[in-house]
Amino acid sequence: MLRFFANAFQTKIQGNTLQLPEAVGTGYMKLIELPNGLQGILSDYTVHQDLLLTRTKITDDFYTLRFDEVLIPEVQAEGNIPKLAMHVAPVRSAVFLGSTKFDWMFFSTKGTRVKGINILFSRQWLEKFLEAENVGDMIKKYLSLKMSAFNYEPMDVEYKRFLAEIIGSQSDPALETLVIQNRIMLLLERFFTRIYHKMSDMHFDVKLSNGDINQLKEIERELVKDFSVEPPAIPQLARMAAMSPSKLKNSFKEIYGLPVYQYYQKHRMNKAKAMLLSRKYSVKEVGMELGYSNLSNFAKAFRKSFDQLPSDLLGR
Amino acid sequence: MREFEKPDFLQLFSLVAEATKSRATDHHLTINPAFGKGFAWAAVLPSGISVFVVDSLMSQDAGFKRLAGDDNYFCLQFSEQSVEAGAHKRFSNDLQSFVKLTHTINDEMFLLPAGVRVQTVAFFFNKDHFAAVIGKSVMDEMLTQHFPLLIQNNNLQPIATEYRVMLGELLVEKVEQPLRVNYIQNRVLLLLEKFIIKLHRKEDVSKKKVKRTDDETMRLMKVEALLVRNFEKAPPTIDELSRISAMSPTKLKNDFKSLYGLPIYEYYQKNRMIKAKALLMLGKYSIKEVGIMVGYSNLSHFANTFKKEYGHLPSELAARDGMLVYNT
Repeated sequence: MLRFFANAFQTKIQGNTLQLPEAVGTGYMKLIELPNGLQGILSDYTVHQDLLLTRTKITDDFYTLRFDEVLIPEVQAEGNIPKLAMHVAPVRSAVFLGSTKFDWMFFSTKGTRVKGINILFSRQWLEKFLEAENVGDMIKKYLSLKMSAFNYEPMDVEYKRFLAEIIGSQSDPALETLVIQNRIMLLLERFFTRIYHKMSDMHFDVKLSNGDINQLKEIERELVKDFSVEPPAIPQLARMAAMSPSKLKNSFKEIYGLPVYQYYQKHRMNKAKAMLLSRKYSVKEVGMELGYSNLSNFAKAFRKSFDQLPSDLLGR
Repeated sequence: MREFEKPDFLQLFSLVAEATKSRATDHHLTINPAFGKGFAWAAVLPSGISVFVVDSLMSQDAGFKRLAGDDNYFCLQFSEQSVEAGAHKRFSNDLQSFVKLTHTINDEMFLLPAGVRVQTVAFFFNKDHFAAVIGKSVMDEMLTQHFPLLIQNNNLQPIATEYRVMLGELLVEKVEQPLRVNYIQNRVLLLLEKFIIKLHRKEDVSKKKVKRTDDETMRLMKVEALLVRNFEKAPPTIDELSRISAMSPTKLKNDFKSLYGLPIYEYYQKNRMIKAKALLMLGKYSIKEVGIMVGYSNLSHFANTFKKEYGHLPSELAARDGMLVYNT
């Protein structure tokens, strides 16, 4: 991964560290490989130009857990930074769990300082991590369902403290691995503990049979597969899932947290945002791609989700 | 006296259960009231480290012995002991808190004497457990210099502030965390990390040798334990402490600082805030209750001091964390 960045920025990696070239920014990205099988990239840099990082999905089953503390230059009013979710990683400080099976984007505007750590681990690693835990199965079930939805939470004092201890670690190089590994394990512990609490708050119910859950996953995939065409109607989805319409609606909401259509719409808008941010498409093209023949309907829907018009986003 | 052999604290745990006729479930027990009060638990972590936690006040003596073996494990033990009022004055020191490193090549005793409140966290580890995470130079330094020295001299180290958070989190009757195993393991590894780092730092400053007898160290440890025992009441004054430790105020102040790294009052204050934060994080108490538990009758003083230490107010901790319930 670091090698890829090196290519993109046309710089060389020295040891495990990559220094950003002057044109892009000041700072570094550093690869760490821990004895417990985790890989991570530590970074601390300030960008000199708008920078968009994207990752294209691959079929390998890896998770990435990102902790990004983002300091945006003051000229930028808070209101300009809309809430982001799902396929677009937040430009605000946040903790984000993603899967390599999904596309991912990270957009930082000129002058932004990004301090963070990105931890990469495989499904097998996670299995082992949760092996001895009573709630392990529940978390795995939750993740398998939620993976396409967003898993992100605000970066609070505690996270920042661990992060600072990792990035600012001034210890003897011989002790560095020890200190970093312990902090990373604390970050993971805290993140999954909070996922678990969130789960309990949502009354995440595992009463549904595995068969039902698999059906719902099918439905979810079907729903977000292609936004350029109308989504299937509820009765049609119910037939596909072999459930009654009301059972489908209730259990979908229970698992994905939103009613079917709202869920669809949210992901549709997230995709729109991701496409716009990539700057490869015009507003019109994005609207068309997402099945809006009427552009003003698209603009309105977009504003409803993000409090700004698609054109404002591009105009930045 | 009951004996066990392997560097496995589940064995000690079963012996404690047997000796106190307490019923154990899932390696947890509440001490049978006929023998005393308190609890103990043990766990074997995925890394192979086994850990034992006890908080007891026995009405009858109980003692356990680990027989020397050739397993080549170390045992790190954090212990705080205080004699309860009314108990026999059998002990010269009525308060003790220490960190002790031992090796399985020697016999070792684990005592739960009657009338003494014992709070201990102990775990076995071997060099494989940290060979992967620390560089060879530090590893050699630990295994060839610090560890043998500590073990030979039966040297007790003070329990420093940085250990207290982790110890407090482990010294509970039952760790109720969704990721229980990882939670315990992370705290154990942090204790080990701090222990190693402290030793390593000592190496760095070993040139300027501190002149202090073991006896003086013990007395300072007693002072420290008195200081952080109860935050509800005002701390003992320097004069009182100097009388208790039989040192002049100046010597006490200087030596305390060189051993614990902070002047006496700052040390007290830091621990007080650590305690306050830990209580708040439990989510069980309101800010007001926590303030009172750490001896603040004036809540705004509490809030300001808290902010000075952590950079944010207690209420911000509650709001930001989103996990805490508070009802002021």
